[in-house]
Amino acid sequence: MLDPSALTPPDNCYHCELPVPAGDDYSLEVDDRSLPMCCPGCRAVAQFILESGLGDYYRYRDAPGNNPEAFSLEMSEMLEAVRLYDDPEVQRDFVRRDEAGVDFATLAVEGITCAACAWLIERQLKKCPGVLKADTNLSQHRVQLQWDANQVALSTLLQEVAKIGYRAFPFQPDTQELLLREESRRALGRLGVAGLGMMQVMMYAVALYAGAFEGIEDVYRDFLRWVSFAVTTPVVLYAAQPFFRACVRDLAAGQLGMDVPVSLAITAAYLNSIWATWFQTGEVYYDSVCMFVFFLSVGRYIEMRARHRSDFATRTLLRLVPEVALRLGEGEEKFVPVRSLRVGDRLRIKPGETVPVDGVVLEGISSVNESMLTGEPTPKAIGVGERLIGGTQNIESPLVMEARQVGPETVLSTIVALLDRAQSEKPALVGLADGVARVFVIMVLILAGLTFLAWWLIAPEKAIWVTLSVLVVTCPCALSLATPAALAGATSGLARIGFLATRGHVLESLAKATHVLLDKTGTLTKAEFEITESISVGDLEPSSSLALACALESASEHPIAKAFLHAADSASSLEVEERSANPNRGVEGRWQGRRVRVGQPKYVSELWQEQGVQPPEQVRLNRQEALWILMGDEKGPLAWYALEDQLRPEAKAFVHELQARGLQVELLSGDPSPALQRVAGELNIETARGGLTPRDKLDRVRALEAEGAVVVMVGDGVNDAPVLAAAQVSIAMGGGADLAKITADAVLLGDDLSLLTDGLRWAHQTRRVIRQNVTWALAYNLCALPLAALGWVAPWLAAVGMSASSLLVTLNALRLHRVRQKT
Amino acid sequence: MDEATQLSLLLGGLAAGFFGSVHCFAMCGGIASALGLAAAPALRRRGAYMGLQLCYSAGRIASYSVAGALAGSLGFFLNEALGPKGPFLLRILAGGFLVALGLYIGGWWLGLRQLEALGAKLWQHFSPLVKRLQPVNGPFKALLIGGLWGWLPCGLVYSVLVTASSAGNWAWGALTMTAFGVGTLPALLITGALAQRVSALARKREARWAAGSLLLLFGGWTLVGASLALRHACH
Repeated sequence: MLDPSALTPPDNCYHCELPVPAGDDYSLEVDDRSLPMCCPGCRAVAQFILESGLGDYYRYRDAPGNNPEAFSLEMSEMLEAVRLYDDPEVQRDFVRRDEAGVDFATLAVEGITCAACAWLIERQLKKCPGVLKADTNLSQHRVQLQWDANQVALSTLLQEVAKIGYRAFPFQPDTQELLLREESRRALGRLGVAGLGMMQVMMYAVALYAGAFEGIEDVYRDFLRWVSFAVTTPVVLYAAQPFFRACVRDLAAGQLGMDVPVSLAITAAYLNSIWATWFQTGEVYYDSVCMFVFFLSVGRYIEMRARHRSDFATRTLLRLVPEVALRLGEGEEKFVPVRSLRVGDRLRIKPGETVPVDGVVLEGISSVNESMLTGEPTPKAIGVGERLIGGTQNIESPLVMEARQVGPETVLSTIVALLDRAQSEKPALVGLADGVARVFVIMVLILAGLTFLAWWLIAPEKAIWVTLSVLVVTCPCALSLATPAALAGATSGLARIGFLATRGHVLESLAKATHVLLDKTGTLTKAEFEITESISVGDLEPSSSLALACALESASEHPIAKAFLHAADSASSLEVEERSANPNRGVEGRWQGRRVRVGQPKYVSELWQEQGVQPPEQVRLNRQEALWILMGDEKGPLAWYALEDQLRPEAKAFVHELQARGLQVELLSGDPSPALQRVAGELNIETARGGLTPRDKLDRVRALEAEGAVVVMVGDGVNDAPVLAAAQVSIAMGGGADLAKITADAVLLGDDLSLLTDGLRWAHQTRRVIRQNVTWALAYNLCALPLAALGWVAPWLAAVGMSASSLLVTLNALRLHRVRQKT
Repeated sequence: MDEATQLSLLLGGLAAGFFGSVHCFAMCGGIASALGLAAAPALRRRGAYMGLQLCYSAGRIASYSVAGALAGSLGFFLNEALGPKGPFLLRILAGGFLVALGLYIGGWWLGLRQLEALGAKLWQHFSPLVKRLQPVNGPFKALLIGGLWGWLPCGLVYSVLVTASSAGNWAWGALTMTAFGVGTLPALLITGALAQRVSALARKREARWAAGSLLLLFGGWTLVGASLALRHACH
């Protein structure tokens, strides 16, 4: 149990934590301990709490050290706390180091509200020697950091960020979630204050308006105004704080963000109202101030929820991993924290449990559900030697696995890191929107100035509120939100169905694509053998010869054996004895006293000493690329099997849909075999080239791009990296394996080509939504501005209009979260 | 009593409650949270929690109102005893106490603690009752506990009580204290949701200075106003 007295510095009051004035002694004796108290009040309260058996309160209160609050303590204490992050053991959870000794980490930063903040943080970090890269993700409040640990310590970087007023933590899912919750809670608090204030002030405002018509005594009018002032003050000072903070930051950075006109409007209206209240003249705008702050806060709140949603979507992945795992040691099984697992540990995974880390199966046969990674709902059969991915669920029977990747190296962590990278890169579109918004703010400020001047000359009593309306109604919130909100929503929505964009530009480029190049045949085929023809030539029925072949192959791990096992309806019940495998040639066994072999024709025909056996002519011509397998006994051949690599079932629809979208599909293959032309013919692909070297493929991509084509290259992502890198968009068929090695811009986790068409569809949808959003934002502002400048829009109406506009944009972008998968 | 005086009583109570809340965050915020823990589990759910806190506060404000009525009655007798100057003298006293409160909240002069020490003696009679009301399993008990809470020694309450007594009758005394209680409501209700952050803010020296200064201004205003009126009345 924690000692409560340890939580409060010794010189501070045990109850209220304020310093105890020197020379006073109100301390309370409890269980032989003397608790310092600052005053009789606190003493009585503490006694009240302790005597009521509520002492737990002090323990649960705010234990410094295990709560982010610790960072808001004095700077010196903060420095102490961040130093912990230099410990290599602590860093293991969130720092990735590459071969060149460069450290990678994601920081969660609190307090980022606009592009200027992001810029400020990047600049501050890049100033430090040893920092190689600092990319800020505005919509997720994260910084991607690359630094050289020999030159600079992580704690120094965290301090640098703290110096300019932001709180940065190494990103760990728990911390991040805590921060999000905290942010959300605070935003809700602000919203509450603004909402309550607005309701109160509007009541008074109605009374004041009514009074203005029916004649109100000045005393009552002033009283109502003072009360409105009292209620509006916390709204301005507390609820509107984020806007002021952002405004100050923008100005300090020499930028004009959207919070500048907002803050200007709030301050001007508030001060003008105080002036009017104090001198008992003019108009008060307390109601408009409260409404503006409230509606803006509502808009920000919804935008924040949307952002958290895409964040949580990523976060859910990490939450899949359990906290503890059952580790098998020498003769004992022990539950250990997943964080303490090392490569090589053996773990037992019971049915229904989640695989904690990546590894391979040592014992057991079962099936796993990988839908959380790939979107594929059908469980996948899995056996000894096969790969298990952390976060997937074991379904049928217990498995023993060996850990191969732990911590940040796991597929899940890599996926999250890649997603983070994608979201932190600022696509050209967002940069453009930011630029437009900046110019817009300058225009708004100038126009507001002109409006004020004009009205001051025409009707000075109206100048203030008309200018307010102009400032409020044209707030470019919607414009700034339009693009990033849509991109963030689409990226996280696609990730959920297994289309993992790892670069920021993917959606933008996909929407512009003109050519899709399929790198090698394997992209379109399943890369596993299947029996496409079986011919019985001996004394056995076709079904029993297949059963016999299966029984012979059942012990083998060879891909050919798998083809037989897949073909058999059920496990073979035939009894085969003395079974022995002859690597790369075939399998031999004894069945009903006969010596039987299955495998290469040459190996099998040794049984009856015949050379140069061939499958029957007519079928052989039909299947020229097939691999022929023979089964036979000492008397002669029993059956022939043709094994072929089959097209993916979705391949035809995939190519068809690409072509229907007007995209040119080309097949580039390094394989010179005639299989290429057959595949191309079957799929209606006109341009198919075989026997190409990587150099040839690269030249083809370059040639197309020189003609102005936007090329999407699809490959396996590992062996064809240079070719993929040359294409505008590279897409790897990931399937979960070797994800960390993949360099592509996007990965199809589901190993399903239709994900690519989903991605294309969604890229177009995203572009459509962005266009709608930007068009709407611009059109709204252009319409509202003249109306407000002419004095036809009251300030409160302006607040409603502005908020409705940004709300519309955010909600429109939210639609992109839900990717409807075509079935 | 004219309207201006009534207004200044109500506003004074409200402001003292609101700005004095800086004090409350640190002190009574703790009780609010602790009493939250005291409730039966069913009452600790999100929706019920706010209701629970409202009950506590309603009880507390009721106690303030009773104390205000007592103070107002006391003021009535003092007025009788002091003659025509009575109301002004009481208001000057009240202004003095508000100034003391400002100094107390700002942390500049802690004289009000002597008063709290007196209050602690009174509290000794109430505190045994608290234990008997545990556990809190319904709104009625919450109201009662809140009622007891109102009698905790608190310099803030005492200085506003002096203001209430300057009203010179029980009804306005009670009203003044009710306004004060309402002024403390936002602080105490928010603490439930935002306890950590707000109390960290309240612990900041600047926040206490600001609140203390505002109360000083308010007390000063009362003092000057009452002194001027007294001089006027003497002529």
